[in-house]
Amino acid sequence: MMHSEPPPDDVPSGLHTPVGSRRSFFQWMTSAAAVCIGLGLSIPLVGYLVSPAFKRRAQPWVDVGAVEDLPVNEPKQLDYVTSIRDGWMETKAQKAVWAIKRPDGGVTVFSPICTHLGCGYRWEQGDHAFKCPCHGSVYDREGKVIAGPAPRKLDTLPWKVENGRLLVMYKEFKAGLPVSQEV
Amino acid sequence: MASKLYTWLDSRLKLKSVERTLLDEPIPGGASWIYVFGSATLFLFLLQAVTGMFLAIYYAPTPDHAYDSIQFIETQIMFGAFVRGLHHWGASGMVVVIGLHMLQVFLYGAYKSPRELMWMVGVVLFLIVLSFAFTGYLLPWDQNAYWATQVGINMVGTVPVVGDLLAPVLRGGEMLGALTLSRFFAVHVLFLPALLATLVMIHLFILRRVGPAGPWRGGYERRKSGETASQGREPGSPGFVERRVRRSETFYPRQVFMDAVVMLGIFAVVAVLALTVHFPLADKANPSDAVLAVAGPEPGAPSVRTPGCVGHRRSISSGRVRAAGDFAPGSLCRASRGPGRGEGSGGVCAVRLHRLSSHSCRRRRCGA
Ligand code: HEM
Ligand code: FES
Repeated sequence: MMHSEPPPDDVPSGLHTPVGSRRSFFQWMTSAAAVCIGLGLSIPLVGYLVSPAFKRRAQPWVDVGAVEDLPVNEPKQLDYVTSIRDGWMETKAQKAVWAIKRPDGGVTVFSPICTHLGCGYRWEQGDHAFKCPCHGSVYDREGKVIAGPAPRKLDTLPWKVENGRLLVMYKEFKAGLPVSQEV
Repeated sequence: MASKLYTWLDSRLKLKSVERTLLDEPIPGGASWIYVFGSATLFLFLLQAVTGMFLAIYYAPTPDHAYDSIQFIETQIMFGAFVRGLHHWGASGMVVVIGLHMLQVFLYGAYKSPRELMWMVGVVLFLIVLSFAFTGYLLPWDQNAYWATQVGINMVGTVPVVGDLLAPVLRGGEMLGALTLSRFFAVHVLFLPALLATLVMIHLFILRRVGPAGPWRGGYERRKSGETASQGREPGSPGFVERRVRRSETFYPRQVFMDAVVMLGIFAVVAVLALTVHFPLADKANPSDAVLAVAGPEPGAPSVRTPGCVGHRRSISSGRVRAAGDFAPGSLCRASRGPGRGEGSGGVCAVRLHRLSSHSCRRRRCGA
């Protein structure tokens, strides 16, 4: 395909291709046009590509139940339904957090996700411990690690009480780090 | 640095000769602004390909999500409206520029022997470009898209003999719906680009085998008699071989420069249109929103004015309505409530009539 026909006999004598500075003018203008189109296209396209990565999800307070329904010193799983914006979809999702009421009335709310690699753990009533089924991490009721590969204590979520209702702000944290870091 | 890399690659890949083949093609009569339309079409195709790939990142080709995903691109994604605008105006631009390309080729007689094959491949390319336009128009899945496609497919359905077979095949069934959208999507983003790219390569391969046609006339003269193989023969007579003595020049750098300037110009125009002319989505497609059966006035038909269609003269002929339940008077012209699409609503109205009564429509020749 790269082979070219022998030029017609008239071509060599008839060629008027620009040379010298005229030639470099055309070369330069061609490159300039290419750069303009390239930048005009690539800058918006990069922005377009990365923009969802920088979107912060709105983190509203969600009502997870009445405070007085919480038993004292006994972790309880609080389920709630939240609507999640997933791109162009709005889906309802069932979420849960673990909450434990202290004798002084304070509350600790744990993120429901194991700090090791992100599984969901549960409270074992008999052992008085949170246990993760994936790799066997165990946490006490303060969230401290007592066994297993978990690198840090359970992550806690902000909470507040309004009109007797417990409100929680759901967040997610990076798995596997020794310190709690929000994603 | 760059030249070092070039030398390194050249010593292995022998790039110099490739470069010479690509760039030193002689252009009979020299470079000209009139030759830019082919490469302008190619540029728009590449622009469509790039912007289309990026649109596909967020687009979801199902009736449940198509409309919302376009809305998402428009409102939630940085430069989303711009990228969609580039694709939208680039599509129109491509149809315009391919038209100019055909016009140039036609006026210059460049389709004549030995370039007939270029013209034939070109005709197929043209049909592919129109198919791009047709399949792409459905993808936003708004009322305009839905009903325009309805009309388009029904038009195919009126083709003698094969129409009744072709229309359901295009639609993927009896009803315009999920199957239509996903096959239009696949055709638009996979089949047609592959086909177009292949045929463009063939188009250009043929061009390089036969060489460009050159200027309309002039630019060359016959050599004095006695110098040519076709001595004694007149132009146009069988066996006449034109001995050109033209002021030719190579493709590079002047024709490349002209092509590049035109590409930049086209890009600028398309970008300005994308930034300034907004084309909102109409309401989300609603197949059951069987609004109205109204079309252009037909002699003898009672003419009604409905509040939703102020200014449009509508005539309803009860004889044209097949599914009466499909349009309650209260829902007349609901489609025209869509955001600022005055000119579109009339189309939707007419479309609806066509759908409801394509049989009687055809019989009465009320104009599809
Ligand atoms: C995707 C669509 C197309 C692309 C990308 C394309 C591209 C090109 C390019 C780059 C050239 C060489 C430069 C020029 O003469 O303009 C060319 C030449 C040509 N094209 Fe097309 N083309 C397309 C569609 C068509 C159509 C629809 C027709 C006609 C039906 C056509 C017929 C021709 C002919 C006959 C030539 C030779 C012109 C000459 O020798 O001067 N092309 N095309
Ligand atoms: S994820 Fe919980 S222990 Fe590994």
